[in-house]
Amino acid sequence: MNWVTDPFSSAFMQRALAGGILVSVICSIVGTFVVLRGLAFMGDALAHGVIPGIAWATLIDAPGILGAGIAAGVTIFGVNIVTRNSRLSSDTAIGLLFVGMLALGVVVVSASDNFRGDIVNILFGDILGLGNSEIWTLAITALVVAGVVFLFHRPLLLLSFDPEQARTAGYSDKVYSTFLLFLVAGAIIVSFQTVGTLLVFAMLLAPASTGTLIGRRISTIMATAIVAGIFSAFAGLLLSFHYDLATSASIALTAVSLFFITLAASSLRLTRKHAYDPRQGSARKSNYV
Amino acid sequence: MRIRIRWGGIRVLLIFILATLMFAACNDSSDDKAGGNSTTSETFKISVTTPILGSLTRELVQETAEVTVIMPNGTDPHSFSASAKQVAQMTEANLLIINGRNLEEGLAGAIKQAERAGVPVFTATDHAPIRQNTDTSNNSAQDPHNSAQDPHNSAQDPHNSAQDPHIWLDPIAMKSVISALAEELSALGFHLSNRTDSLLSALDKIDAEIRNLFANIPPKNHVIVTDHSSFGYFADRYGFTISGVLVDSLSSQAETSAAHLAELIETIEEFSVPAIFIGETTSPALAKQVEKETGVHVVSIPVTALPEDRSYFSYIREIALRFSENLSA
Repeated sequence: MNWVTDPFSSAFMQRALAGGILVSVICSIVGTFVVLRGLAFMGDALAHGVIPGIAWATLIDAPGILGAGIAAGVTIFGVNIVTRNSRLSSDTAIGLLFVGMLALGVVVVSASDNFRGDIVNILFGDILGLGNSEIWTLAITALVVAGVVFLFHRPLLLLSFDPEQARTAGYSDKVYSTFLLFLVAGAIIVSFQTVGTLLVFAMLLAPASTGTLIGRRISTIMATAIVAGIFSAFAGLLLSFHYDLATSASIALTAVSLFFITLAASSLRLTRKHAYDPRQGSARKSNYV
Repeated sequence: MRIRIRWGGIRVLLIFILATLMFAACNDSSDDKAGGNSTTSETFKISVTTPILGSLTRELVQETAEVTVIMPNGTDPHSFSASAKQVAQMTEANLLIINGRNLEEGLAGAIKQAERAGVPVFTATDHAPIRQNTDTSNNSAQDPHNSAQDPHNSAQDPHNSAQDPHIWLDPIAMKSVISALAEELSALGFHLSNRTDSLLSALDKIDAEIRNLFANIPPKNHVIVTDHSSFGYFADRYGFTISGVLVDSLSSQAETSAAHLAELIETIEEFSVPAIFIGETTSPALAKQVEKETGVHVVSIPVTALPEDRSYFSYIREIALRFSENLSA
């Protein structure tokens, strides 16, 4: 009957759409700071760092969110310890934690006689299996994330564009950097069951990157990211339904494609000079703050 | 130093969140119960997860009901996950038939959606004695009567992860499953006349045929090695002892350890095991390694794939033939 609305006539597709939209909102808000502060690799490490926690939680029948939370904390803490106590750069520290946690996850799965949870489900999520309780968790998280970002918008904004000015204004770089990492961890933890740990990373980066192509102000970037994320969730679900494609991968692919289409369009129209350039972020701060 | 931010974007965002919140709230009551019984006037629709259960279901209902099989033939049931359309099929069926005992790990969410939509779910492994995955690495022979368990006890404890789901490799266990399925179908108002009896006797016949085939396997060749524990029911039924497995888990998703492999090679040499039987979803690299080390013969068995005629009987006969070819003197 109707190509766009028909697939959403069943309850599970409505729940998948609601879940996808909420994940997009959470990831776009947090992702904006990830992109502006250049935390992509840390985000990747967190997305994979939670796997041993989820595996362990599944083994002892604890909620996956609890295990993921503990593992994310360990990852952030570990990166901090390595950078503070050695002369290694932070990307080396992140890489060490990333690969260590991933290996730990596989060891936990193999050590058990019968691993009940599916490691494929951890990586790719089960957006078609969402229940109302998961939707509520996502909705409450979206509100909390939006509220927290609203409350702390000033230090977060200054840190993203001009760390030095933030320091003069009395905001501790260390405190707010860690705070931001916990926001990223929170977004990953609640989103992993929806789009999976691998693809939550795509939702953190792609919509926010699209936002930076279009907007100059952080509010514009964020709003564009949210629109791009929601569109990706909607279009990805439709594509997956009509052409029998893997669901969460379709959503991620739509989000990334949207970025490249926008990039091509903005290159053609030469609007890039108005858009935010992360490489010159602090040099051109007066445009944003 | 003043900071000006336009909060228009944030406002838009909050509206989005509230809209989705209301959306989720509306879902509580709306469509959930529409699936199960709305199609009673049309053809009776049965959704089946695995091709093997699908084949037996088709034999049972023939063309009087519409049988849809979710997994493609030969796919690894442990990792298969359904597309959105398939989940829709499952939530709109009059009956969903699953194997259960964590075989359909990747379908867990989809099965839950069908339950939420009010579709009755028939779990095959609830209706026959379930094998426990006893420690297969310690060379001990398994007594099928000890490891078998009352189905009602096991059904109450779904968290016991050591239960073997590969029940379809035992034609006699499938008899109890088919009887239970026939009861479930008639409870749902679907009439099978005498097809149940003919299917049950066909299962008896194939069991006799397999026993006949195995009659000339020498007793010393009744000790075998398999991939993960997929052949437990088959071995129990036809008097084989599984002395070791390549991957010590019921799921094909786990990895094996170096210590386990070394132990397995020792076992094979000690019992002079003639062959390793592996399912087609197991990577043959590991088995080949053991073959190189010990000279044991690696035999690939289509555990999840039906032969071309899509018949359960050809399928189980084919497996029996491979066993007898490789174990008869």
